[in-house]
Amino acid sequence: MNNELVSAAVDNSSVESIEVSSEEIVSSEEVVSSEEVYASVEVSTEAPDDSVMDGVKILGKGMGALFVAMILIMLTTMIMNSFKSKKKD
Amino acid sequence: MEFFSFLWQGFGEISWQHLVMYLIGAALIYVAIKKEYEPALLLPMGFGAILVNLPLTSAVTQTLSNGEEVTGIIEWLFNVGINASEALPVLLFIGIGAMIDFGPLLSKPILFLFGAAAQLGIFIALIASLLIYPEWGLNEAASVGIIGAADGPTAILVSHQLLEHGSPLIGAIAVAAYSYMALVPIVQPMAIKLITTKKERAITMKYEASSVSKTTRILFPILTTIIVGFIAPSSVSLVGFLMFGNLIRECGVLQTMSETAQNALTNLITLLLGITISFSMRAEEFVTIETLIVMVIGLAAFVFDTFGGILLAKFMNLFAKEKMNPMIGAAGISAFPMASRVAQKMAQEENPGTIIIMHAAGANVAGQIASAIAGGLIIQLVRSIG
Repeated sequence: MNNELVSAAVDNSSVESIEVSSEEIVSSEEVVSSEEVYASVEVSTEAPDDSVMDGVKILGKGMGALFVAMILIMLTTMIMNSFKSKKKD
Repeated sequence: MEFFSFLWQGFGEISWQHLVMYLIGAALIYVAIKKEYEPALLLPMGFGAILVNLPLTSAVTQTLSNGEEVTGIIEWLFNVGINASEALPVLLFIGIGAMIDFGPLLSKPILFLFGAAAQLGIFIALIASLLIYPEWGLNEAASVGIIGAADGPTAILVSHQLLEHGSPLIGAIAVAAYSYMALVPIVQPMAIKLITTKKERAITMKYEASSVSKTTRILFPILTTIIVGFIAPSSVSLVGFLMFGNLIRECGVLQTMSETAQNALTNLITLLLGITISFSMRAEEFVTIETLIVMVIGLAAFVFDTFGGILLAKFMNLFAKEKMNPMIGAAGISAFPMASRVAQKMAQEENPGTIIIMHAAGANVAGQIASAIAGGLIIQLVRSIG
């Protein structure tokens, strides 16, 4: 298959243009891949800080929600206890 | 001699990691029997650690030379009891709920707050995991942090939900959670002495035993489940089963069922849970630097739990007419009843007449509820952020 393509290219006397275009494709791919590497490097250097910030967010939200839940249960218990006290009075 | 060569096949498969696991297994069995530290769990885990690390063991699934797969019993138990549904840790909560008397907590509702404060270690350990070992993502860090719940079933359930199937961290987390629960009498006194004075530890607290009505005892588990369901839906399986067990206990018409839940059910599940979790203790995955880091951060989680409870008690003392012994805050962790016993023992050491056991027990059972809620919250928050 490849041989057929090469021979077709030779027949059409366009060998140079084929060589040039193939080089361009290769070089552009290299540029893209190096950008990707750069991008991934940037992400990986930022990632720890981001996740630590996420950890701090979870600390705030988690402890907050936990206290809200426990306070609500506490108040409910107090209300139930007060009914009992009133009954006694 | 070659005729019997199959006899030596197993020896050829042994690596140094296997030997380390045999030592760990033996150490767990030793502390379970000799020191009586959480024997119901550490003994099955220790034996299981040896079982799954025998060369070519049939306890875990093996692929034979002809390509045939032979299912191992421990791997099957893990897949069915934990991986498929988390049934084992969740069902254990029925038994725990049936065993707990919430009376001391219901008669002093302010003690609920110590249960919440003493979960601080979970979140501090999560952040510490991210700082110390940046290779871990939020899921791994949260799974390590949950050791601070001081509750084995919660630690297993949360780590299993957040980590990949069969992750070696699950085994390390379970070992750390149960080991430190067993070591509460050693870990907590050191942490308590770091941030309390002798005078504070000697504070005596009055306890006026007020009876709790049967209606309150019955309504409490139902209303708590509903409240938690609205605030932290992911906690419902844990808190719901804990409260279901407690309702069976308190309703007064299911005495036999309550006794079964407290004894037969709890023993059966604990026995299976210990040996099942040992599936995550296979040498090639367990003997790593990550396991060591889990153990270190797990210890820090227990210390910060203790700090959280004590600091809240100290803060409340700034406004209270009658000062509280800050050690009741330390008893707010879930490890029941060790944490409350530690607080009482230390108070008596400072002043032989000091009695804080009822307050400490109240805070301790509040910790049971709070740790189950915290487990669900962690899953919920990590999924929403991650």
